[in-house]
Amino acid sequence: MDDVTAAKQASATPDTHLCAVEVFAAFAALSADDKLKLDAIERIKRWGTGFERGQLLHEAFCQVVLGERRCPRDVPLMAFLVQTMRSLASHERARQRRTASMDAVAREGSVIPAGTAVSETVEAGAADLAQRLAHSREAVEAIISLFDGDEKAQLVIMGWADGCRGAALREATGLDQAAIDYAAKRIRKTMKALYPNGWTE
Amino acid sequence: MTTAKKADETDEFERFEDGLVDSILAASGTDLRDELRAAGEDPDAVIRSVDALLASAQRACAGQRLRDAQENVRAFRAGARTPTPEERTAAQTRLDAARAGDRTLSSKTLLAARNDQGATERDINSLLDDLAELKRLEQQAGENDTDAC
Repeated sequence: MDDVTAAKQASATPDTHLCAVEVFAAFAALSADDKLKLDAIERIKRWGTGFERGQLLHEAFCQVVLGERRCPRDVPLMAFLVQTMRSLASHERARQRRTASMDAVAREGSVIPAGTAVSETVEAGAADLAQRLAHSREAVEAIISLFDGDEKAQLVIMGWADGCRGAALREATGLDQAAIDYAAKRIRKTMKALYPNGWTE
Repeated sequence: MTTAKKADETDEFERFEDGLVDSILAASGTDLRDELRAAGEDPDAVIRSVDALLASAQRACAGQRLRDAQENVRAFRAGARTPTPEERTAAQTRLDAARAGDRTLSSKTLLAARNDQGATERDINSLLDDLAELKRLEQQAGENDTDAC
């Protein structure tokens, strides 16, 4: 499509995505609570990405402003920004895992069997809890064990790990929403105390 | 426990992590502040650091947009070409026709004419180039419209 045709089409159909100026305005309107949430989420999602503190949020912001990821008008910017951080982190983690696998192949001269967790391939000295957390079922089990004596919190963790949310989580745990919210609060508080900067430190 | 889908172990951890993220999104500001204080952090300092980060990102984006715009201008100029003699002749004919229909055209449109100096040769050449370019764009648009049908 040439520039003239593109311009014609652009003028004929309303833009369904926010432009840079609108994104700037939406960011300026973020509340203090939103900023606390962005910070807390960034700490969690930047694990295993190689991003320094603040870089994941910075990158997500820039991609949305520059139109590399376009925010639909019917999606709240806050939700879109969080989803962008999730997506960036997921891609970067996958890239890091591929690099780790290639390093292991180069080091050991063999191909890692399919399904083998990266944590099994790294050197024993580097197998700290943060790395173990990321790539194995043991990670979730380790987290569950942190809540011995708090069965509701354990049920919520298991539900999250199974991908349950909302009504599905209530059904799976047998808890009402208030009990789930309270358990989630205890989980956040404990994880925050153990890993104040996410799983990285 | 209901399992949404069969997944590998990494997925299981990431889903737990996303559950944690969702709970942060649903949490009240009061709860988040309490959790930060319990971890020995100052919520106001966290907010200031996010403000600083967003301001820094905003400056970086403004700089990038400027560089992109400059690159677009360079690319446009690199793609622009001098009209062929035939195109220039056609443009001259078009301009002459317009002048015949409006004898004050030059004084209305050319900056030099506003100073009672008449249109310079450079003004006329520039106008002819613009007309040739306009004709080319019109032809391209016509061809594309035909293609679309």
